[in-house]
Amino acid sequence: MKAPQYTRLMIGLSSLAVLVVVVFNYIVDPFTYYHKPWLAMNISSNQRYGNPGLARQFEYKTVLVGTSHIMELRSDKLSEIMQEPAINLSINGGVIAEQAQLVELILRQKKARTVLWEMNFPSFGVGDNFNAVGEEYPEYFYKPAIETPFRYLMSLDTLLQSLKAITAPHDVNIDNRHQQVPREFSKERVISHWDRQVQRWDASARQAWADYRLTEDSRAAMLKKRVLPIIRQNPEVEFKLFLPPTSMLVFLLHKYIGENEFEQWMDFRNAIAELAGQFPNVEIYDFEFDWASNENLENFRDLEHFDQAVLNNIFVQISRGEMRVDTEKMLANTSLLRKRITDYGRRFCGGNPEHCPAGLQFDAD
Amino acid sequence: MLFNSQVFIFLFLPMVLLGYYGLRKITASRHFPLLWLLLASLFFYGWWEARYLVLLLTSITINFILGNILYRSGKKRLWLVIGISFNLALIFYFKYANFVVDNVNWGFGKDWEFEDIILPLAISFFTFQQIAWLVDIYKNKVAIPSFYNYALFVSFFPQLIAGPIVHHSEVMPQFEKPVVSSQAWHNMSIGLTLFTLGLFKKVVLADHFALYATPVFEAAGRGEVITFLEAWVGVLSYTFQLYFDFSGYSDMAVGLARMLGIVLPLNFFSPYKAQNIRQFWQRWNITLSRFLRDYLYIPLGGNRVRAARISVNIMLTMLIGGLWHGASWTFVAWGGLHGFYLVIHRRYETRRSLRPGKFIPHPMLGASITFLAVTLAWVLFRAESFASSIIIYKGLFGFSGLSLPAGLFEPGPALQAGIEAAGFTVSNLAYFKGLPELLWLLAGGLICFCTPNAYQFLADQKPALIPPTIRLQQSQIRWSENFWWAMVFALLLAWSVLTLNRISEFLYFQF
Repeated sequence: MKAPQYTRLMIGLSSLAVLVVVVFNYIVDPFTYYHKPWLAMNISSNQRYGNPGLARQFEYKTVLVGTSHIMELRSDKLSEIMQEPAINLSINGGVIAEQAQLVELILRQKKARTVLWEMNFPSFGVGDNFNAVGEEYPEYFYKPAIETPFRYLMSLDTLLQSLKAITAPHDVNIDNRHQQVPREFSKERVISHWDRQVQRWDASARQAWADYRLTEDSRAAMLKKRVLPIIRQNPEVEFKLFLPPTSMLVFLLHKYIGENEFEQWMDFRNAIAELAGQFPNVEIYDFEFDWASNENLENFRDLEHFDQAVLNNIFVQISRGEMRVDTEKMLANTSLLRKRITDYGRRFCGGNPEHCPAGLQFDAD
Repeated sequence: MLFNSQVFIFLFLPMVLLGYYGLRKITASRHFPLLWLLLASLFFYGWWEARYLVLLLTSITINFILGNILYRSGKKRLWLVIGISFNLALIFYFKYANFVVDNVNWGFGKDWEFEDIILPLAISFFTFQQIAWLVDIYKNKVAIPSFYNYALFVSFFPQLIAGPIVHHSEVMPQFEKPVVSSQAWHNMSIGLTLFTLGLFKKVVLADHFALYATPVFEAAGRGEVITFLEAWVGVLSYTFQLYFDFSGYSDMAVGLARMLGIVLPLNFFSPYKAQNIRQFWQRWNITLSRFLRDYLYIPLGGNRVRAARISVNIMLTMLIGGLWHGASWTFVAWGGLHGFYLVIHRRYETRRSLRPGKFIPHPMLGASITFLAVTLAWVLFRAESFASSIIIYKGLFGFSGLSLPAGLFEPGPALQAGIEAAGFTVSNLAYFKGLPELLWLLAGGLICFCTPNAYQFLADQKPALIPPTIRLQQSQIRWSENFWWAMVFALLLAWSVLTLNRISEFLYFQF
């Protein structure tokens, strides 16, 4: 064989092999990016890769975006509460930068009238670091990009997903994406998680935290950079921003991490009301202030993940306009919340001295 | 632009090849194809950060002017000092200024701030290459080329960003040589084959080992405890990751140049098969070792001085070699450790030569000791700080617990007691799951130690310029342009292209 034939044969055969994979991946489309499932027998549970496709292919008028706190709310339940077709596109461990890109993608589809958006303080703490949760972030799914078909279809990883999709049992209900694991919610679990977090912080996390977290105004900066422009550019869409419930121990952990960290959280609450509240298409709901839920550790399975009853109640209350705040109300809530946290901290440490690290101090009022 | 990116493979490379061969076909002059290559190389560099293209062009232009003055001047030493100072100042500012400021702050309790500087891509490579050119002009070893020929020598995209560090005498004559058209297809088939092998090593092998290595080093960076097996799996995975990364990159560079009819120097030759540390440095980053030898070690006195001074010269060369890799004390320590290895080896060789007939170690023993020493040194090379490298070393030497992974090993109660009596525990290890890592490490070891390398495989085709320290022999498996090899490499190319769905940076980019 001569050199020209060798070169042509090599390029031709490799191109053919790649083409076969591309066509197969397009037909199966395991992340439903180009079309609703034809051959794919189930919907991928990979939210980072799957949500853009779901946003493009499925119908909805209300969309829910956020983190693992609200991940297990079924879309059909949400539709029932909101009384219109709704879809839950929350992302486990989602940072604000990727949530914002998802919302932009959703709004480009021109289907959503209402965006329910969780304003989770820790999600704002990693800046534009899409990979803060340690996974590759497929930005080409979120932004219109010429490279998308190359990166998505021309991929062995996608081929494996395609094979997985066609061999799995047929199920195109998007609510069945996540395996429904029975969860145990108890105070013991929460306190055990608290102990682990305090130990982890003492053992190794201080430096990591210092490297990881941004400067003082970072949360408000990310709000201005990632959230507010989207609100401003979509005046016809109603944004319901909600601060999620969280166990009181999370606030105590932030106090333990450092008073500055805790103060940032309180300031962040007020900044949301002040900065986002000025838009006529924004409503803000404060469930961090819902201490009936937050003080009862039986509602949680760890420091921050609450049970279905609390989860459903968030959206029932939002649909009724309850827990809604304006700037003044938020300032008042924050002030009261500080006091409640201090009181709760004293009670927690008083009742559980063995769980209370020495560095956790509560100043006199 | 990365070699292992779709934009390079599907757009940049085909356009460069079409332009280059198209211009060769339609013009009689060899200048236009070379000019095309120069423009393509500058575009390739500017793709990453356009403003640093100005830096590259400034460096090339000033060095070219200095080279011309040096060539004609009667005060050659003065102009050489100016030239070297300019290059060192450039690399100092962009690569080491923040490092120095940090150390001054730390040492003298100051709080000085220096601007955040993004390290320009390939600055270490193009600076060293140009220093060598100036020194050789000073020694009257080189004539002055045309400007665009010189600019192409420095910026030639296959070797620009991570080597090989080419010597002007190796490539400039090839740029100036009339091209033999009949060779073009042959160069293309050899180049494509080498590129495919390199791409496969990078995206399929190196990037997979990174999945096992990175979490361990990151965990150590966070201060987490790394147990014995986790540490070994992490460090060995990194050892193979770096091997396939650098080997793959070198193959791609040589292959790309060959597609354009240019034969680059060998830069990587099965270094883990080395039977001693000296051999290792004759096989790992060969062109950097050559540069350090010719332009640092020999000017310091090389081997022509007393034994103690030789040791000092070796240490100094390796410390600077370490610092060349990165502005961090861990790199300096890594260089120092290799310097120490080389000094020990030299003493051992000297003693052995004085007492011939004494113990001659089996080559396998030498190779094993060398591999172990190199592997232990990689910890310093990879770890983010001394603190995290200490965590890894503690793990490697069993000071952080001897845990066996539950996924791999589920003993019965009797065995469990025995294991615990021996000081081990069985638990779910965060960074070592079991079989997949072991199989990959086994495969990595087999490829590194038991298979011929790309250059032995293609030896008949003279794939690279071979240094005198390497004896290149054709392996039993012999590549030729036939149907079956076309099939094999087509599959490897398809596999590699289909694994490009993530873009990961070459480790050697940062140097």
